[in-house]
Amino acid sequence: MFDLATRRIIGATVLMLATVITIGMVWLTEEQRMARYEAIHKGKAIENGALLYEQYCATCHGPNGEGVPGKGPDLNPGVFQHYQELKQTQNYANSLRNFIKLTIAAGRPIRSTYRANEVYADPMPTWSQDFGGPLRPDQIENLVEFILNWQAAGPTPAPTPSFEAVGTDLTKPLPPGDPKRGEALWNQEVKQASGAAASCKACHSLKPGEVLVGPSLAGIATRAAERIRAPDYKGQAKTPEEYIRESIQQPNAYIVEPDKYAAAPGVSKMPATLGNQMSAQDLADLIAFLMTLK
Amino acid sequence: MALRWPEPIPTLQKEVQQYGWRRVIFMHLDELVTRVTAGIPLTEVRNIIRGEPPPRPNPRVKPHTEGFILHIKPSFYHEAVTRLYPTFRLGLLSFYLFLIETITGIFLMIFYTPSPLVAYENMLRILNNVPFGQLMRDVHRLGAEAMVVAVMLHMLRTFFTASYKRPRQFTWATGVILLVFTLFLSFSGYLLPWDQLSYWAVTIGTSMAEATPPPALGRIVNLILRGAPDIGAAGLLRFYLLHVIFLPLLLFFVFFVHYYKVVRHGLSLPPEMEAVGDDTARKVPPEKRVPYIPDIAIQEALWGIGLIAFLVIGAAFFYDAPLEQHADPLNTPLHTTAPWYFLWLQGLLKDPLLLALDRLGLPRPPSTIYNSKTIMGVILPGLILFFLLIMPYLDFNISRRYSHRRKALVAGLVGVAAWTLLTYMGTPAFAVTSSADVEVLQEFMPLNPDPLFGEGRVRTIPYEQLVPGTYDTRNLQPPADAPRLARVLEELKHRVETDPHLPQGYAIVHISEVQAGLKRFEIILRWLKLDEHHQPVRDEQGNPVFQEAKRAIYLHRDSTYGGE
Ligand code: HEM
Repeated sequence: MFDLATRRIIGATVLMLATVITIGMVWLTEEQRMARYEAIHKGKAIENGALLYEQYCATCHGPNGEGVPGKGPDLNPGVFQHYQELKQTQNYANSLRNFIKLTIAAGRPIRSTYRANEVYADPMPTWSQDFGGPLRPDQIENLVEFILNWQAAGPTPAPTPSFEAVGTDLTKPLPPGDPKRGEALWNQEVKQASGAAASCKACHSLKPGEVLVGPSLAGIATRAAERIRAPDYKGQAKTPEEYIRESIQQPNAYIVEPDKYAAAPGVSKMPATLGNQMSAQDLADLIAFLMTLK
Repeated sequence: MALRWPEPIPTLQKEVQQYGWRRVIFMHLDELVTRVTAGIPLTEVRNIIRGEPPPRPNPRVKPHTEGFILHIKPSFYHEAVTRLYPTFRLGLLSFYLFLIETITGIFLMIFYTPSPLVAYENMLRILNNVPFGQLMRDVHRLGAEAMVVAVMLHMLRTFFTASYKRPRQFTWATGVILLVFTLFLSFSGYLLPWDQLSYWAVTIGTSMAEATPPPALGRIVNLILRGAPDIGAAGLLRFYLLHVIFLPLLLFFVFFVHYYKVVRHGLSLPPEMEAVGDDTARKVPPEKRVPYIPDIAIQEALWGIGLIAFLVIGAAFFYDAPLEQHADPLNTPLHTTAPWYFLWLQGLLKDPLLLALDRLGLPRPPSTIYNSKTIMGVILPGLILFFLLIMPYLDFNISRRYSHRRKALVAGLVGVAAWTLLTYMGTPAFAVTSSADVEVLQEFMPLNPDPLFGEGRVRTIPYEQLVPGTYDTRNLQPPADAPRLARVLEELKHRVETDPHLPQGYAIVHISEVQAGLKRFEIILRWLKLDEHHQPVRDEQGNPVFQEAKRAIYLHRDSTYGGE
């Protein structure tokens, strides 16, 4: 249709237009893009700060900034309160950000008046390399972002308890159980390590013969001893305690009266995830309590 | 004596009276155009645009004799070298890229200070506070990669078309020097962002320096290059100066030597067009001449437009220059690699010779005689470079015909294949030897982006799907409304359960919310401890003992990691 030269010129014009349009698009979206980049980077700074906090600060100020008796005061809300107090009583003139930054960088060589009646073993050391500490300036900034985020991002969520759930692991050694606490757990007077109440009694009654969803647990200690000797028993338990433990952590290991208590072939109506809410101590206490039900 | 103008004084008024104002405007415009173009009058420009042939004598060759910029360019090309083959315009593109790098580089220099205290912060400012900052940075980075590619391909093409042969041996030799400068130019720029990627890539890339024999010299070479035993403030400043002044100046200078030779000898014709042993590039019969102005000039302008379009559109939509965490000399990322064009060196350092000996079951030579780093990292690359430099002078085959150069062509292909293989060997995909648990943690949540695993699987989970809780791969019950979390947990389960080095392996995952908008993600790996007879180790009660490895990272709502 066109000769080579014309085609080339058309092609170059299109490319040039495309370039100009691209630059125009970048221009129009540049403000938003920069703001977004800033937000992303701030998020990463907070992540870095959190890791540094865990590594360097948590031993004295607690994993969630709640403080450690004898070692360091709480930071959340400690720093924020201390700052307000300084501003109101001493006309402290620096910004909150700088207050935090300076404290981390240069440490607290002498005891401040805040939480004056508490005793801490050591003064807060210097952290910035500028003052002989281990951290680079950018790391100090990251820590500041993390600490500010306790308030900047709204109320701190109730801490998700970080505990080692027993899960389905039957080999994990258990500490000695306390039947009193086990009973309190059963009655939902104390919470499991996950922070949630134990849900056992929603499905199990302690009245003999009463079936809610699962069987009554009255006399379970005696029954457990019989179960493990039953010919069709195919679990691993050797003792009544082990039998109760297995039933809680791995309900599918052996299902009593499957036509009554199985949701599907081989799957018990009892959820297999109860162990994810319990620490080893919770489990031991519950077992100890159930073992009192002769 | 009073100073007087000669009569009559040529005033604008008189001119207009004499010729009329239309003609006067034309005369002055014509003069302006003739001066700016160094010799082409306005009427001729019109002729060019209309596509008319030049008059005789041809005013279109004037800029080649009168002008500075075009005096180095030939005034006509042989018609046979104006198509894509044989040049593929790779030399031209290399030069254009150099120019584009200079312009974008100066833009970046405005906002950059070569100090470890602020360099990284400067990079962040360029990205979040300088309009067009990211575009400029991306074009600069993409252009740098493209330049390395273009120069390498240009070298291959001059090899395969036998353009390095007599009389162009010296052109080739200057080309090899240009290649080295191009690589070092790119490499020196690599360090400047001062993030983990750049810091460790350059640490790896300069680690051979120390192996320069003899040891006393090696120490000095290392000190000169890095400014201290390890890269720090002094090293950054050195690399900066190399990158922005020293290497560009040298490259610019050598380029003109190179290009002068190219023009002196003329672009070599396609090999099949000449009698064996002839070089007729400069004897172009009149009917084969294609004038530089306008034909070639327009072609070159079009290539420039195409290149700019490629870089701008590529950088705006398809390519983002990486910026990782701040450089941390105390924390080596697991899979550190040199930039891709030096991976072949990293491959050499894994020492194919020793690997081959191991394969064959032969003993390794004692390390007192044979030091991999010195031989594979310094001496061999040095020899390769030297060989490349003098290669044209060793080639006694006068024919440029492909059919007469079977051995050379095969050798060239073998060279390319070896380079590719070594490059592969340089990647962490080949012969990395960290333990299985470390690899798993790296695969799911590396502390720095990993050349093999990127940001890792965990960071692909959208923030809302990080449901707090404890998950056990032996009994996975992920929440129903978190499909991506469920998939990653499923992958983790599969990974730990199928790794032969993690017998009875399982993983516990804790997710907790530590601040509004911030979650902690921890993986605990456990696997059976085996003794030297591959039997499980047991404790006093006879229970099998498990080994443990764990790592935690934090994830913020805003720090999107690209994900899926
Ligand atoms: C910054 C790097 C380089 C630049 C800017 C550059 C530029 C050029 C240009 C513009 C040409 C004209 C023909 C063409 O476009 O192909 C050329 C020709 C040539 N270059 Fe390069 N070059 C570079 C690197 C190299 C390298 C690495 C080699 C080989 C080791 C090399 C070897 C040659 C040879 C032999 C010719 C003559 C080709 C012929 O006459 O057909 N150059 N170079």
